[in-house]
Amino acid sequence: MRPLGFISLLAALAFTAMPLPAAEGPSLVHFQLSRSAPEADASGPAPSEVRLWFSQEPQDGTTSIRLLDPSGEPVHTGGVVEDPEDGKIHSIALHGSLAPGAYTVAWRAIGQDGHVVRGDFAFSVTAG
Amino acid sequence: MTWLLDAGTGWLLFASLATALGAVSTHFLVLPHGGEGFQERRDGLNRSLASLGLAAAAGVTLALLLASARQILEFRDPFAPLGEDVALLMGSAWGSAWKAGVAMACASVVGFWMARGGRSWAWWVAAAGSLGAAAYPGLTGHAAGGEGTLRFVLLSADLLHVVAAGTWLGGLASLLWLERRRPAADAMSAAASLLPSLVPAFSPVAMVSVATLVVTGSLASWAHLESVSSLWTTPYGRLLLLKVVVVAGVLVVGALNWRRLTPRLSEPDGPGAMRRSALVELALANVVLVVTAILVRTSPLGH
Repeated sequence: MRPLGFISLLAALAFTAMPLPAAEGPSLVHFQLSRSAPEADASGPAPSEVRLWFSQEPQDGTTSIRLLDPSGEPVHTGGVVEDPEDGKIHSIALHGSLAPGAYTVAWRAIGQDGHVVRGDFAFSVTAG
Repeated sequence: MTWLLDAGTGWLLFASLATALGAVSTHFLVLPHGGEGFQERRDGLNRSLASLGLAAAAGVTLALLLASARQILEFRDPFAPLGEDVALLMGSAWGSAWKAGVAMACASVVGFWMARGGRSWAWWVAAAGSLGAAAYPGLTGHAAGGEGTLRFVLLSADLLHVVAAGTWLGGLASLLWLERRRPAADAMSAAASLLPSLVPAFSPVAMVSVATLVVTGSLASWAHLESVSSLWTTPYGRLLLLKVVVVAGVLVVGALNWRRLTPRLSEPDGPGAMRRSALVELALANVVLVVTAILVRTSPLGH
């Protein structure tokens, strides 16, 4: 078989074989927010911290967690702390009690695949 | 607008990387096997090839600079000083891979620049720089998302995928470049097409490259798709399907044209027909690169 004839054969093989994984893949974990405390759209007493659980460890030093008050201004908080026993958990401590109202948590990090992932969710603080 | 920046930056990176790798593989794997009576033309052709490689390596460097600008824009925390964000980004694993990629691309520029002056050792510098830069897409992409052995396997497969795409498509571009530049490269033989000498030497390289692309592409698909149905139920899957369809089109049309046109290379109009056919193949290949540029920035997750 001539070399270019063989390329034709490979082309035909590629056409049929390349897109179709024969079985389910190894279930690679991709970076995303798994859950949070407070939970999204939760309503209740003022929390003492905001805690995020990611699906995998973000790249070191790339996690940012901002708490925004009802007017959209950042609330003064502690810095981002990584859980020493589980690198997938990050939190910020809140200084003082939050006044009643709707708050937004805006977060951002880089996953192991180098992609910047960000998101936000809201929760409400009720009086008492 | 973000997808446009992603697609443009990614296309520039992949096209430049492929061309630089193609120049290197043509130098090491194709030109030495150009047939009898061809060897005395090699010096001029190598210098011409180095010029193409130099432009491609500069393109890789520019693409990496654009990639860093894009990454900073995405990473930006509006409540933090810009300098703080840049420092955080450059201190991350992404930043380390980016800095290594830029260093490799610069080494590649220097190598090709020196090779233009006829220094044969400089080709090894260009090759090392191009191969090093070829690791950047994997280190900053989905392949880096695995853990342990799987991560090593996926990163290796990604590197092979990029190198194979370069030796095939970049090699094809190099052949066309040399064919187009042959009067300047070899004034004594300006009328003679290089294709009858180069195509037989390029065919085995292309063959191995296509086989490598099939294997590594299949492996990546298997690793990143949660199920076969992800091909049509997720944006990532649909883009992958689009890529594979266009790739298959490039392969089938290219293979048919080459099979039909190769026997005609010794005829007066044979090289011209081959040039036109190869240009169509390269144009389609660039569509594949654009789709790939968007694909690598799309999450394999179903949202």
